[in-house]
Amino acid sequence: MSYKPTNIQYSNIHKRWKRHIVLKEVDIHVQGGHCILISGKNGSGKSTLLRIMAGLVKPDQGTIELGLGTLPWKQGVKITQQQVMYLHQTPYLFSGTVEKNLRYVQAAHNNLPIEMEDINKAMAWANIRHLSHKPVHQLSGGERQRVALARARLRSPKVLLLDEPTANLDKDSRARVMELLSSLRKQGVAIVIASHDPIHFSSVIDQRLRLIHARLEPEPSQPDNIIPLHERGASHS
Amino acid sequence: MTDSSLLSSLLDALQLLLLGDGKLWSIILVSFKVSSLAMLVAALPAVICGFLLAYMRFPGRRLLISLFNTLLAVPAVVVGLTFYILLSRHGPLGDWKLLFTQTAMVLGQIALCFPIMVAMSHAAFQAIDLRAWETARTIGAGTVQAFMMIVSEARYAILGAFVAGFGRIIAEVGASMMLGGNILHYTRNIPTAIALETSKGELSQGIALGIVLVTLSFLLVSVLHYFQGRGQIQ
Repeated sequence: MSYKPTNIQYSNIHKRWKRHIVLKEVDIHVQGGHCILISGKNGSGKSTLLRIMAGLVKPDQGTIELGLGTLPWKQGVKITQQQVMYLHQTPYLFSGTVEKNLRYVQAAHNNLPIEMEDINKAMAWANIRHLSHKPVHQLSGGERQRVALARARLRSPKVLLLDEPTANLDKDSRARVMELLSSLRKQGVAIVIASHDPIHFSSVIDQRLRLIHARLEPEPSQPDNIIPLHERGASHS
Repeated sequence: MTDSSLLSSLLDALQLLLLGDGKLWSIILVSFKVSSLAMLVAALPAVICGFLLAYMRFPGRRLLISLFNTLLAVPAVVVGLTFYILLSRHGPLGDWKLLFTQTAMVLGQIALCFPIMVAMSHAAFQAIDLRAWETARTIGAGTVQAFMMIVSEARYAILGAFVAGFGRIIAEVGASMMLGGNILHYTRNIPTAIALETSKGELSQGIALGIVLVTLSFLLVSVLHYFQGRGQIQ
């Protein structure tokens, strides 16, 4: 399964919940094979940002650039939505078996159901083949997360957004999820992870950002060569 | 009434049922035909309404939810009266000439079962995690397909809504009497026949029809319990 590299620039995202400003002038650039970690306290707006990028929540303001020029949000998100996949902190699995959940997935490039052969490959990849006929309500947290990642692999999105993917997982499950993420990144998938506990992700991340006071900033400890996007324009001029 | 006459009426009732009395079975057939047709028309729109009320945000949504909840408690005879006024010769829909027809009974029964099915479907969808819809969309399902996936998740509760809706209309007497007119072989259904035969002192036919309704209620509740139990297991 191969992925074409992607480049999506989300710019000037604003979001307010009633009077509370959640996101302000947020810019984020995702590119294929690149993994971004967004950290921040609980309630800092990480999940909101990911849900906005996935097209599940509408921002008050924002644009999307796809190499075809800058598009207004509504127009841009219609194009990106097909290529972006969002994974909840606790993945939702539909009632029934693991295999049934994977059969629901449609490929991002043509929106057609996926062949059984590919489903079997994805189950082998995520090491859940032995669980294929198991009802999902009997799965552990780690197994559920692996089923969700197998779904992501089947869907083949260009961008994968993960909300606290290792929360409540034990050490072994966490290591397995990291392996799977690393494998997706190597295949060219752009990955954005939101976590309030970034320490577990050092093996896969390329860029660390932090949401603080509704703004997205580089982590203080990250190397000098990573410049936040909203400052890139200024540094070029 | 003496014990012996009650026993004799009961035996007569069983005889009528088991020997396939034509008049009795025609009444049962009318009941099932009218109520099944009402269910057939109302079920899908009710589920869609319940879904929209649970998942969409639009102005007037809360008002609509309150309205459907209020309609749950409206007596069948009031629904019958409303449709009687609408369909009577001088009413706004009098030209349709529907009064005292099975179609009028179907309309009245739709008005009775629709709110209960909307309210119960709404509750069923609300019980499903919002992540289900988001997940369906994010794995590539279109709007209709995602809707079907959510319906599948809530299937046992939705079946419960159907059973409750059918239970409400199969045994109601007020609307059927006012809109159907209780015409034998045409609009006389089980509840209107029970009311009529009892008033005439013909207890055996009333008891026979009562047995049919009680058996039906037992079957419906058993089906509901079975599926609710399965839903809880999953």
